[in-house]
Amino acid sequence: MNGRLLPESKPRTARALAVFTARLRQMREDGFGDPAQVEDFRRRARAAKLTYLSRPEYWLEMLCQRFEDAGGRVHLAGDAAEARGLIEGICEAAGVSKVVKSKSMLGEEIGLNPALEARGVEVTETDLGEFIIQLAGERPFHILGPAMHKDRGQIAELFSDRLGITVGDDPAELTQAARRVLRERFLAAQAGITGVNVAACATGTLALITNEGNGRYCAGLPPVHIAVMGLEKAVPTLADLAMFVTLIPRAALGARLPSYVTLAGGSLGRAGGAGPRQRHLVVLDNGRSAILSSRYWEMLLCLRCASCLNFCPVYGLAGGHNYPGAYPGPMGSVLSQLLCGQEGGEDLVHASTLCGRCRQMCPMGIDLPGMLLALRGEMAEKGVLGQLSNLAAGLAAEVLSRRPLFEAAKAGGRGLLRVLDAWEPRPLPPGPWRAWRRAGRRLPSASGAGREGRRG
Amino acid sequence: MPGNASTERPPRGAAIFATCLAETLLPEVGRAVETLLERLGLNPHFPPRQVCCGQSLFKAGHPRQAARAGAAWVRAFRGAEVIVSPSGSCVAHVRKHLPGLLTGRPDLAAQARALAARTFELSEFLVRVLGRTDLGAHAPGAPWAYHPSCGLHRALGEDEAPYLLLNALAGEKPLPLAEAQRCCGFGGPFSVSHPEISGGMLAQKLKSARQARARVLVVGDVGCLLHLSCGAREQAPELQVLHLAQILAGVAGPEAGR
Repeated sequence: MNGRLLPESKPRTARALAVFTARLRQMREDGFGDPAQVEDFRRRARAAKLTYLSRPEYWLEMLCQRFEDAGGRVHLAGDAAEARGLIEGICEAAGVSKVVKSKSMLGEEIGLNPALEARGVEVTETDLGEFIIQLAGERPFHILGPAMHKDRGQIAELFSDRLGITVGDDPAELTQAARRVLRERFLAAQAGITGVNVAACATGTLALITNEGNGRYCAGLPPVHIAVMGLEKAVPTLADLAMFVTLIPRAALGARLPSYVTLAGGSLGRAGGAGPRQRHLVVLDNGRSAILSSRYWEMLLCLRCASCLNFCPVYGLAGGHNYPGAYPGPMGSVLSQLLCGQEGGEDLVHASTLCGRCRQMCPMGIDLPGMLLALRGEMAEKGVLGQLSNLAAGLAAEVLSRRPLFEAAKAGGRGLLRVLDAWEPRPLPPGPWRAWRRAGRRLPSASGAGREGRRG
Repeated sequence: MPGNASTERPPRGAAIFATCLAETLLPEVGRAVETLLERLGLNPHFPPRQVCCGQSLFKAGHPRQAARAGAAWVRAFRGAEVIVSPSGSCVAHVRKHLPGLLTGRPDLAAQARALAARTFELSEFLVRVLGRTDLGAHAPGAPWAYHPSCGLHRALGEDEAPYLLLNALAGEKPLPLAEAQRCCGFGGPFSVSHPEISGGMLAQKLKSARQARARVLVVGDVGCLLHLSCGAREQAPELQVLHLAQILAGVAGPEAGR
């Protein structure tokens, strides 16, 4: 994406965004609003993650061992291409042509669906929201509500256009229609692909949280189950896992428990019986080891709960589709930059007032504003534009370090205010004041600012 | 938070850190702080070499340049017994970032740390250092609301002092403001680099004030004050945006302070 982060331009989407995020904020405040409780969880959750992250290779080896003891296979992928290749290979070896998939941000990160589809594998997203945006050919709008920007009329239209189903716009009816389609896909699929919310190394257990129970079908019904996780998703023990299983829904929805928890990693089914006969775990690095050894290691604590999106006033106006990359909102502005240093990242790290609401609401207490600040500092050192802005900052620092220069600048500024004031209502000449003006702001009048303080 | 002040000797001379933004565009705020501190017998003075703490340069991603402005700030305030500022975000910068920015110059860093411990946002200073809440001031004469600024309430974590001061005002109590904790959209350089989103956040804040039927919006940071007053000037001329210092000093103008 070029240029700067802009507000969502479609009025209907902008309204839906405001309503959806306000509702999630309310649910969070109602169900997990006690700061002392949040602090208690934060302390325990950080301790568990830090135990893991202080020696990830030790714990990961344990996870592999236990997972494979139970009959599973673990694959380590260095980057997105390797992960895609591994999953394609598993599908090819098992003769898989139809896949059901539950919602996975990691799947988005590595561009899994297009890769599988290019190999002739049919992928069906089974989370209702993901199912809808897959039909629409769009990216998720929000980590929790990927289709929150679609209203029921639009969804009914999609079902009719893409599935040939004639259905009213009653939400229950729409859900039933999707369910009928999905049931058949679940039964026909030869493989289920899921993400992982948290993995316990001591037992080799993967936990998958869903609101609709679709994860359970993906992990438990087709003959092959492929789970994909970032290497930061593990914790030492099953007790740690249990804590995260109650923390994630608290942070995301203010709910004490998720609707569905699926634990995978136990014994496999027999041929002809129910349940998967192959279970694969793909553990992805894709820049995470580098993050762990950098000043941004805290980003690996992120649970993808979307709290920072829901409480961010910038995301609340921009919406999910104006962010380049798989991850939107404050966590996305940092993580996308760290993972791939992508284009548009420079703008994103500046697209924040650093108001601190994300950090305040983060269940893990991740200092997102601090990381945005650090990234700003790193980027200001780079490129031609960076050099120019450095030069300007150097001049500003000169003025802001010397009272006589500041006095002169102040007098000049007041003169400028008078000129701009007199210029109205004609369009302003180019300059920062034009951006200021365009956002519905008028600078203080010169007479007001000109009133000299006794000592000012 | 530095100590329970009531057991300590109240400071005799308070240095005003007016901030470069207020000095340039909102000089009435610095004057209000001076009036208020004078009335409290604190012999306010204005260290003449002060300009800027470097916050805006730091937030724009220029720590080295911010360190230069910060070093000048330390020199300007060196020797001050206590420093009081009408801007929570500037105080947060001085307290949390400035000493770290000067690590390359140990003498200045040590002075910065010492000064940071003596630098207070106005409401913090009044409540935590002086132990005062009721200053005999009057609430605005028109229906009013308070916007809790991010710099004071989140960066400094001061969620009590401004409310204690506001609750002690004679007259009408503040109106509840919807989504009060949401940022007003200023963010320094952000207000110019992302005018569309900054303006959207501003419009939301002004809408909250309108829905609360407030005619006066009180804020505790010069950044928010600049942003909201410029927005009100264009979009909500009926709304007056004032700094808490102006209310406490009773210099908010006849239509608001009566």
